[in-house]
Amino acid sequence: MAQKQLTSTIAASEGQKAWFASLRDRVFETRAAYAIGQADMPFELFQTMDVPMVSNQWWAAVVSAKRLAPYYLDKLNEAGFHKGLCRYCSLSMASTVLGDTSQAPWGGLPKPALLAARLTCDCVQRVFETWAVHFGAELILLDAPAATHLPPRWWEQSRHHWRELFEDHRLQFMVRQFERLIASLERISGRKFDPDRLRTLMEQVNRQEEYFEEAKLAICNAPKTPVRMHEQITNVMAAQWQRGSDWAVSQAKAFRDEVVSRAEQGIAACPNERLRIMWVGAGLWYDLDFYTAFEESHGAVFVWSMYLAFGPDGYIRYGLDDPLLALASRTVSMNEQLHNPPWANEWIVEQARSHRIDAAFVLTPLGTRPSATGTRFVEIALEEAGIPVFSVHADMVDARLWDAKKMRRDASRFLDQVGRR
Amino acid sequence: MSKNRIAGITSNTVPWEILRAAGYTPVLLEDEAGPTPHADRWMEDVFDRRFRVIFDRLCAGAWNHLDRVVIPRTSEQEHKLYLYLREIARTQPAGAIPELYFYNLLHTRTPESYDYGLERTRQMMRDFDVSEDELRDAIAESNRARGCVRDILQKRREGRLEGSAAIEMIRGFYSEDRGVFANRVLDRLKNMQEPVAAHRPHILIKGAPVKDASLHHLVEEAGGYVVAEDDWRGSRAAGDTDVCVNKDPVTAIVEKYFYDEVSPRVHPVEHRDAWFKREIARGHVDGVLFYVPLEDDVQGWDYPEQLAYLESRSIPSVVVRDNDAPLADFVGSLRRE
Repeated sequence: MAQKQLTSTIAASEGQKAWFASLRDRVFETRAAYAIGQADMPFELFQTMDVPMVSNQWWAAVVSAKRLAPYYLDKLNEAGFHKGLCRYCSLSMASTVLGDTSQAPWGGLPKPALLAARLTCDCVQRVFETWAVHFGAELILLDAPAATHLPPRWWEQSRHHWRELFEDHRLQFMVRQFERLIASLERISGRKFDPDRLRTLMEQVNRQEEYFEEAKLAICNAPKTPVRMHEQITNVMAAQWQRGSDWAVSQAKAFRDEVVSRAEQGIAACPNERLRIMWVGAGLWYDLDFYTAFEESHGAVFVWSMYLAFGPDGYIRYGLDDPLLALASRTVSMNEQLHNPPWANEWIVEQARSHRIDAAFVLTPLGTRPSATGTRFVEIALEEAGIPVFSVHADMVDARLWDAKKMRRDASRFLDQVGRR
Repeated sequence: MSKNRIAGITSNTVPWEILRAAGYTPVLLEDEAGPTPHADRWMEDVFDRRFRVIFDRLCAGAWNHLDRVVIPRTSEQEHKLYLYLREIARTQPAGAIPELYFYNLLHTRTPESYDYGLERTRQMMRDFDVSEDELRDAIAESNRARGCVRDILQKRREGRLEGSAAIEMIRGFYSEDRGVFANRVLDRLKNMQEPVAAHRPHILIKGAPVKDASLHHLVEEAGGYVVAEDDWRGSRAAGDTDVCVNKDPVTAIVEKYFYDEVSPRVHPVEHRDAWFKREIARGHVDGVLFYVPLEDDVQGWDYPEQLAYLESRSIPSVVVRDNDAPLADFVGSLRRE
């Protein structure tokens, strides 16, 4: 894997490892409660209640990056779950339930007090039910009514006009579900929920995302990107999983400072940059080298992924007099914003323009339904905007399906064509 | 109910009665043969064939007999179908796609989901300008048809009606005027007195929704008798109960569609599996056929636990991935006393 260029990236990786080690210590030594949850859950509530939460998708990415996904996914199939089922959301479960669980990274996930998911597909409840039974842990599921009001350019309304944008009946429903979740967290943690504490945290999240926005603008405006995409992801996601904490805000600031400073000094992540590439979709966690594989040959640099850009556009909420309602607005439409028409395609084209993108790699996940939809709309919208698209059909965590040589060969041919334009 | 307008519906949890009361004839949108170029352009492989066909025909303007299309939040595929159709309607030349309506009924069995469903159903009543009296009339018509579906199932339990014939008859519950459906079914059932299933093993089909009777025919050709299927297009079409006529009709509708309809999103699992376990406990099933194609992303998660449940009761089962699987060995291994 390419050498890390930013000090903040090293700090983010180390911070995350230290956080997990401390979590394990607390859980094993003092029997502290922690939770496992889907990435689109309201982490802020867990943070406010001092119940650490491990993101299911983050852990799946870690398992995959350690090249352990094939082992656990094979075990899943041997247990009678067929090969066509979703893998991104089930790999973490497999790594704690099946086979030799001691092989899992960093000692594996200890027993949680709570499992929590939002029903953005029809299968995730089943994964979490299986998991909860195995651990004997409490399970909280948040249902997900669909958006029917989907005006253009959502990102221009989501910060100040979120009440109107996300439909009152959906927000109120989500708040009621939050109240059930809060009751569980109070029981588990022995603490009383304090809305003022949540408001303060939400203000901190705003600050964190504002730092990310400044970093993003530096990337947009610099002649050559000062930071590679995968370093952006490491920095952003380490902070997002603990968003609003002092560590996360400080990490975001350090990242912003370093990116802006590099941009001001004219430091390019890849001095050879000739093509600016965007990656649409979750990461290929088992082959992160893919993202630097075309720098030398084509001057093709991955400069954009949703992870950094969605921070400011998706998370910032101003007007926090009712922090639970504001949090509901952050949670209720993430799937529509990131993956489905009309919002995802429109936003991604806007991002491509502002980042001066020359070509897009669009992932159609083979084994994850919530993010497998909407990709054709994204591809067609990009092409209509004049941006050539390379379709990648792959799974984010299942390396069994990935032919690294072939994908590099095909991508090289595509970039040859883009370079000749 | 004066105007004869047609509303296409995508599954079982669209309240037929509200549409009927609004003057629509609701019709289930079905799979049909032929290429799907619009779906091929816009939809990923994760969509079932039936939803691809619905999307395709609506985009092509081939179903312009429909005045409206109503889609419920009953599966993720339907949610995405709605978003895709909206986007095509917004961005492509006007006229092809009928007016869309989304019914946000949820299926987690929580008090807040119930209240939300009630509030959304009241909104639907307002959106379709339906009075409670009109709704009561439609409920009566629909309940009569539900009774006829149960008559079909009773004939089948008595061994007087093949599963393939039963599922074809039940199809009318979703595609016809329910008054016409009820009369036709009563006529047909009168003449079915001869046993057809003596000593043939009774098989229950479980898994992904079956699109037609071809799997049933396969079982029957192998010598089996399909006694039931855990499927809203078959044994579970009418549900366990009628819409209650002794309470506020909107509440009665919500209770019917919230508590007594099939959806992949039903949670918790005890509710989702209750019908299946009850059928097994009745003792009339000799074997279970799990229909779980590899495209499935739902039933496959439930399969290992359901298999363990069957094994604990010594009920044999088989997994079928497609409609031309050889079943003779499995059916031949089953015994019916």
